[in-house]
Amino acid sequence: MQQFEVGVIAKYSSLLCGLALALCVSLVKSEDTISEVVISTWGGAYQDAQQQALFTPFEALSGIHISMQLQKGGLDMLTGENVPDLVDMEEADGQLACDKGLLHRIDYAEFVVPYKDDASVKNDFLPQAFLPCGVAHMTFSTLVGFDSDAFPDEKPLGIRDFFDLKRFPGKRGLRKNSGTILEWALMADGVPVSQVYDLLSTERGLRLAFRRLESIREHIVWWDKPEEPGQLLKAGKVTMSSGYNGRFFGDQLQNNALSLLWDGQIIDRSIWVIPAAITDPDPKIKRFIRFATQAKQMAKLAERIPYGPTRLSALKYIGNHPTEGIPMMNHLPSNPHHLKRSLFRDTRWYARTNKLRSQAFERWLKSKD
Amino acid sequence: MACGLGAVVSLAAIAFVECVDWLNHVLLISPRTRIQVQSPWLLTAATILVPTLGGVLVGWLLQKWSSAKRPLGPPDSIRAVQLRSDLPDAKSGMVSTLAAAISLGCGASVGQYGPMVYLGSLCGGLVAKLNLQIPNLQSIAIASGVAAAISTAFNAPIAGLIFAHEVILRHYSLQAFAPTTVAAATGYVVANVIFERPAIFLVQFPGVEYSYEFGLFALLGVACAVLATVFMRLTLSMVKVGQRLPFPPLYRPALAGLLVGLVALGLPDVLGMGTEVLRFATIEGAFTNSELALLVFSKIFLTAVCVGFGFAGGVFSPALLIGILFGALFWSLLEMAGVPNSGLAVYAICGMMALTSPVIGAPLTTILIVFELTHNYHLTVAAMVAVVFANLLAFRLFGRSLFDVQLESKGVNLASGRDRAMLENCKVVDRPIDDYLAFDASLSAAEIVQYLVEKGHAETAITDCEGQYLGMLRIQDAIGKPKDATVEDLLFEDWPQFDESTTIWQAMMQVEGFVGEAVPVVCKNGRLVGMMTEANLIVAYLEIVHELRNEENAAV
Repeated sequence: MQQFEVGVIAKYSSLLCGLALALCVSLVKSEDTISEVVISTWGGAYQDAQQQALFTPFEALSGIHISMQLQKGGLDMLTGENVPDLVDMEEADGQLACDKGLLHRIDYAEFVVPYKDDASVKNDFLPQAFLPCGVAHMTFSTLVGFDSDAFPDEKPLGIRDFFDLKRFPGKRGLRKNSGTILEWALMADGVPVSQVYDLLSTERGLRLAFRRLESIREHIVWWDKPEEPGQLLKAGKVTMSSGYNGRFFGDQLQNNALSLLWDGQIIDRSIWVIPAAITDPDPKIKRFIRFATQAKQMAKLAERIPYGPTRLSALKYIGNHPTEGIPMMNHLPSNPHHLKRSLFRDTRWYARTNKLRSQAFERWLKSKD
Repeated sequence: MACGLGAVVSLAAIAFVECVDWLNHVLLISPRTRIQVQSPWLLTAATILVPTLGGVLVGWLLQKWSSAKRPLGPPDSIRAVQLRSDLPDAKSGMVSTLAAAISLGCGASVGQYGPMVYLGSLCGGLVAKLNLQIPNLQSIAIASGVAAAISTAFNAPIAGLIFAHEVILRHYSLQAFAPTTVAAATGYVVANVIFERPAIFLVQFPGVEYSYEFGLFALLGVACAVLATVFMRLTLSMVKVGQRLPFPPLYRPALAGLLVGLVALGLPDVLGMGTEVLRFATIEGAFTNSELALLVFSKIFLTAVCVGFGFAGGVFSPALLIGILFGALFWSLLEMAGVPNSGLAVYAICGMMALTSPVIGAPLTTILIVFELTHNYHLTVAAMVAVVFANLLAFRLFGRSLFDVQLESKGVNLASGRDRAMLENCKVVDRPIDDYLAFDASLSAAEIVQYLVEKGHAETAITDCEGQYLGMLRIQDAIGKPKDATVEDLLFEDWPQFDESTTIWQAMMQVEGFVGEAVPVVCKNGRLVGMMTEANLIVAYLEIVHELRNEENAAV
């Protein structure tokens, strides 16, 4: 309604000042009246990186203020009071919220800008980056870190080596749930990435995965908190461990012997979504997404925190970490060299099979062959 | 033109596959969706009802809307090309393709490649209908369509090209070679470059470790030939069993579907094409020996029932599946016997190809498919050995392929080459037979001789007053006979005789050792309709054979 009135005023002024001037006035006016976007995002180093790479530059460019709302995942922020204009959400949550109708459906073509006039955005973005309710803007991965000092000769090269206790002896750190490890077990059996979830959907596939897990049962050190893998590796309690690439990046700064095995990495993504509770979303939200998903902005974020951009054109802008001076390209999940054999987690499958997988995992934990 | 056809077929084939995938997804056939269903009752109901109701739908479609009243497949394409006859009408083709998509979508134990081959021929057949004044257009267009379909289906353009020549055309003229190659390449470009469809089968294999293993591959080939023969014979006999059942053809596929559903309750691996099973078979320890044997057996049985009872679909993918499971079983037995070997993958692939090759009658194609799918030279050489032995033995035991034997049962015998099949497809009555002499038996022998001398003939047909054929009268039998001898007494015995169904091939066989001028063509009701002169018969024979040779040697 407010916008409408502004439009009317603009029309009157156009009588006096001419069409071009009127357009300017109406633009400035509309931005003046609604000048804040509330974004719900994660805290810590990630928030700082976003502030430097996205929020501050956007504010400087548009004059639109960005205020942040902290979240810890889940769907709570989408309902109740103080619903943010925009949420940086994990793909799995995003999909769930989309199914429940808590998000606006979006047409990706309006929300991303081609990096060249004639370029196709679909080819530029990673496969399936455009979801019904959001645009994937960032990747992070679960992968294997290893202590390269523990293997002075041959170094692990493939995910199969994680299960090879003969060539690569030592304990293995694993998170104590059924996520990730089942996929790795099948990939180690030579199952191509495209078929991993198809095969895991059968009893036979699960059986094979647990058989592979059984082969290292006595050598597993379970962990729970994301910081543990780095600590276990540093203390020499394990020679290989699963972990998150963001955490491993931090650990590598203090531990030169920590190397990463990108083969078989399982990639998760973050997406920008607009809550359905925001009726009639303002164009400035769209404007922010268009800004934040530009190649250069994605690269700026990836320089500050090792979460990969979701578009290929961003890769060429990635330089060194502003304070550590490290070339960040080597630390990103979406580096083409790291993508050779990587699995995009099927979040929908994950959500629907959670119970079944957890039960099977518990049974396996209790069983003693 | 070949390029356009290739693109259209390729897109149609991709659409077909996508449609089947989507149906599998929605109808709870694919494991990936089955595992996401929370209610066990829903899953059980879907397992039994989906194939059954799918069968009802397929039966209804085929019986109500298709004039052929049966699913169409590669044998129909082969027949049209080999005999230069028309394909069944386009509507039946469309209905058959739709029925195949439903059959596969509902989890029937049939394959997708047969329908895709037919889809390719269908598009080719439509192009051939355009009046383009190109010689041999029909066979070339159908072959191009088939090449594009196979090329898209397997991501294997060379195999597509060879399949079109080996199975459909059965000759290698440059005139056909060039367009089929273009069509196959286009199919590949569309599938691989534009749509980026993943390769179907990727396996790692470093090479054969022991030389004696080639003997084992040959042995596996021989065993596969036997199994393939069992599979093909069972498929053919199930057609007969289906016909003897006290159900109208409309409900036969439903019965097969019900059977599939019931088996799938205990053994979900039998549902659909079994892409997952194909992969598991290359993983050591995925199946126990008894599971492998049970799956081989049930897959053979259910595929035979599904195809025999009228589900629309091919036998290629089931053959691949049976073969790979059998290959895995063979390897597992080797392991048990303690024979050192190069691992499961090579035996699984050899088994897969050695079983499939005799079924489709295309050794070169199968060898090339291995090469194009795996990009692995060692694997290809190993598969080659198994395939060749399988084909040799299966040819002896059964015939060139399931397609050829199916065609033979419909009276098209390609076993002794295309010439014979073509000659058997042309009838004597379609040739000029109107120029002949026939006399009424009421005339006296002397009068007939008089006429014959005037006309310069040495023999004539004799009919009664109603035009019924009585026999042949030779001039030398009539001259010098007593005046009162009736014409009937003078007729020559054992004169060959054709009827309206006599083919050129049968005619050629009958006139062996015959010394007369012409053979009468007599209808089943006994009426004389014409005479086939020996000269005309030979002209017909030469024309057909020349036409074939021209096609087979045509350059451009």
